[in-house]
Amino acid sequence: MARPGLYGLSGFQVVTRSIMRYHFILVYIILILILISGCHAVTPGADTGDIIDASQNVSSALYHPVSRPDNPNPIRSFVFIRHSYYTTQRSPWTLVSSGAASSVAVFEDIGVYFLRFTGSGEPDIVRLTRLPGLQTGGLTPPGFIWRFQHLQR
Amino acid sequence: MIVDGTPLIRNTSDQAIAFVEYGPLYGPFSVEVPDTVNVLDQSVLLLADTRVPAAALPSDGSRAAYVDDRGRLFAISTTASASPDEIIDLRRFLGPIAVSSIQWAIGSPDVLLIRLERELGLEAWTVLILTRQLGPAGVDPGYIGEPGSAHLDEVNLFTRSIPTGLWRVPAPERFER
Repeated sequence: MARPGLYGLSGFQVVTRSIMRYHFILVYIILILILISGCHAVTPGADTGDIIDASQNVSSALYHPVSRPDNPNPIRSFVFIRHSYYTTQRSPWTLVSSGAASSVAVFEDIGVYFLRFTGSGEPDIVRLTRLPGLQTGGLTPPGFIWRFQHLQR
Repeated sequence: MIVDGTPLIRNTSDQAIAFVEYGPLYGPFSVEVPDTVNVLDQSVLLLADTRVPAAALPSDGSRAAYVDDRGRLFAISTTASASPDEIIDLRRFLGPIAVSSIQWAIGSPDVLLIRLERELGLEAWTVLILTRQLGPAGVDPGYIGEPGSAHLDEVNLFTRSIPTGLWRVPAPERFER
């Protein structure tokens, strides 16, 4: 015969209730995971959802290739810094019904690009490098400046 | 040489540095791009983890000069790991200043031109790196700056028509909403 435990429950009942309580928590965790996995996976180039492309070029300079004296358009080659910034529209979400909260997802990248022209005259973009570890939170700093080595006028 | 009112710029090296104004300084990286390459993604060094309002590369690219937000001028190697060398404390001699641009004097590998603002307005100063001497520069302060930096509108004109996907911005591992 089982010995009565707390509040007159048997040891078996106490264990069972504990398991049920943890099951309840487990169900919540699973539910949250399902909600998270159901979100859109958004990439900057994807045409899905209401993605706002707030990217902008923030600094530029002319470039005449050193090893390409045959460059047909030397004065029209550019190197520039682009602040790529993608965000979603603000929308209320009610995972926790505590009112209208807002959620904004962003993707941010700062890269240096080379703008060149193909034989047909069409512009082509080459990414030279990315500046690591910079997070502006969507605000473009007052000035992205980049320098060439040894410019002659 | 002037083409369409624009000074023709001819670089003798393909090296460049980049920095966020009042942010860190990165580099060097090459701006020479083979025709067959679309993405280089060169790794860059964090040359100065401080608030940099102005920086410049000399003709040989072996070192960068930068000013920090306390008005101190430094030189640092871009090819070897080394601590920055403080050249001169500009505020010690000039008082409160705001440096807006620096540039190595063309043809003078040890001369830096500095554009700064004091109470009276824009001024141009020269620093001799070897002797660490400071003196007024006989040039228009407006001359000191990045040639070609006024062409951002032109770049915007070209890049506006480029589809988003062609930017080849690396997608983050998780970007969800």
